[in-house]
Amino acid sequence: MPQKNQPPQVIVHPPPSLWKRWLTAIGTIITLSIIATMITGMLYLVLFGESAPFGNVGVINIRGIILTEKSRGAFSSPATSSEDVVKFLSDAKKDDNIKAVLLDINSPGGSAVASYEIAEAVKQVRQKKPVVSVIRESGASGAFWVATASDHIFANPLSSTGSIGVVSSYLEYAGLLDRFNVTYQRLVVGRYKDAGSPFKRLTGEEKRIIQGKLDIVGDVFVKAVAENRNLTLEKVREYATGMVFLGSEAKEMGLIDELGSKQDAIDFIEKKLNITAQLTEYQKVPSLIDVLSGASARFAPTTGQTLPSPYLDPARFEAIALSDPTFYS
Amino acid sequence: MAKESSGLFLRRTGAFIVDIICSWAFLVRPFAGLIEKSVSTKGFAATVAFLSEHPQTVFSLNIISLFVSFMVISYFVLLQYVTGQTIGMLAFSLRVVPLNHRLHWWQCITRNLFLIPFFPFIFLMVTEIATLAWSKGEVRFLERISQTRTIIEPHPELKEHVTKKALRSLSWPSKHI
Repeated sequence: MPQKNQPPQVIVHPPPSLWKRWLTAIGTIITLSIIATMITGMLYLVLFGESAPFGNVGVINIRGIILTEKSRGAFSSPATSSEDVVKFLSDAKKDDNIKAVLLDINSPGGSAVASYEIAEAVKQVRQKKPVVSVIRESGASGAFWVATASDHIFANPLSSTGSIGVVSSYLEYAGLLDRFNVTYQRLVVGRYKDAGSPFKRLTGEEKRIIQGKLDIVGDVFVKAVAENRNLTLEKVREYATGMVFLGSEAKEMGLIDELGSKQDAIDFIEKKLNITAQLTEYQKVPSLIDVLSGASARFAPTTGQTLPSPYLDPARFEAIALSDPTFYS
Repeated sequence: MAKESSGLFLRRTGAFIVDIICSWAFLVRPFAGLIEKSVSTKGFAATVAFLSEHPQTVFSLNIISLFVSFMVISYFVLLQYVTGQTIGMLAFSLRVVPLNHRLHWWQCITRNLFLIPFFPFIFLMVTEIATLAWSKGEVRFLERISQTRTIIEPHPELKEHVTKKALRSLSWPSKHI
């Protein structure tokens, strides 16, 4: 028992060796750093997962081919899902903090249905707040349709725009099958059920029918452009050869409003609304399952799309389209 | 004695600075991107105006701060519990010792409560600096509560000297050093 007025003992235990302590310290901080990185990733998904709740100018990217289905995995070529974009536009419309929407477009087009859906959603947002589009390298076909729905379109003088038209071409293998003595056994109910099948020859009648449907889709596209851009139908039909126009040509034709960059579009918004733009991006963060599976998007029916047959790889289609503008005509 | 006290104070200050730099580089920097994404304004006035208009942002920043402080406190607590020394303490030959027989978790947590950036713990930062300066680097307020001390790594030849010095620091305020 300690005597009175004796100070308590301070016990100094002999420490482990110096190198062990350094190793422990360094190992601990590295482990904690890894944990911090994982927590950051989780917080990013929770706080910024699908919407962009902060900032006053919502930026929605339209990249790659426009499709109706959900975006594919991170390892495949870029694609934009109309489902995602319509949701972002809806969120931006409801969010009172968002004063304007900026569509950042770099897309060769895509599904007619998907483009139509996005264009209609843009018109809904326009009723409440301004929507400005900026076309980067490519804003053609369906992507151009989407851009025309906005209040103001910016494009680079060398951007690829226009391509007002519809394509549904596909490869027909009937001759190849004949050559290798492979027979196509036709079993259908409904004589046009297999119209457009690549394994049989397209008859004249079937071709006329499919062409008719494409004409209807094309007409809808032309009317939408005429209405959105305040041009006469005749004028737009003149332009609707499927030809791609450079940004400078499109400006002269009245298909876009102004030549400029993304910064010019931001300056335009700031001047129009008298605000300081705080950009905030709407983006879909792919889940781990999406990334690992790299699920492919399914295509719309062959009729009425601005994509070729689903038997062509869309990534190849994008590459061809960007390198050879006449592919659309 | 005054020289030894200022030496301890300077060592402790240096060790803390090294620990803060390590914490920032390895534990806080991963969160920097999140903070930048939350608040993209430039300038104090613009940031204050932005935060006042966006309560959601303030809430998110609080959540991020919570995790940042958790990571930083974990660094101090874990290393002080396992080896008695953080990286800064290793560099400056300092060590945490208990006044009882062994170091417990609650002692390591208690002595680092001043790192929590929320009310009322944030006021502990002031008391810690004040008591450390008052005692010339020998003991902080939370060290008294947690029954721990920070001492210079005992050199085998100076072991007795250091022990007596640590014993002297038990009184408050110590006027007999």
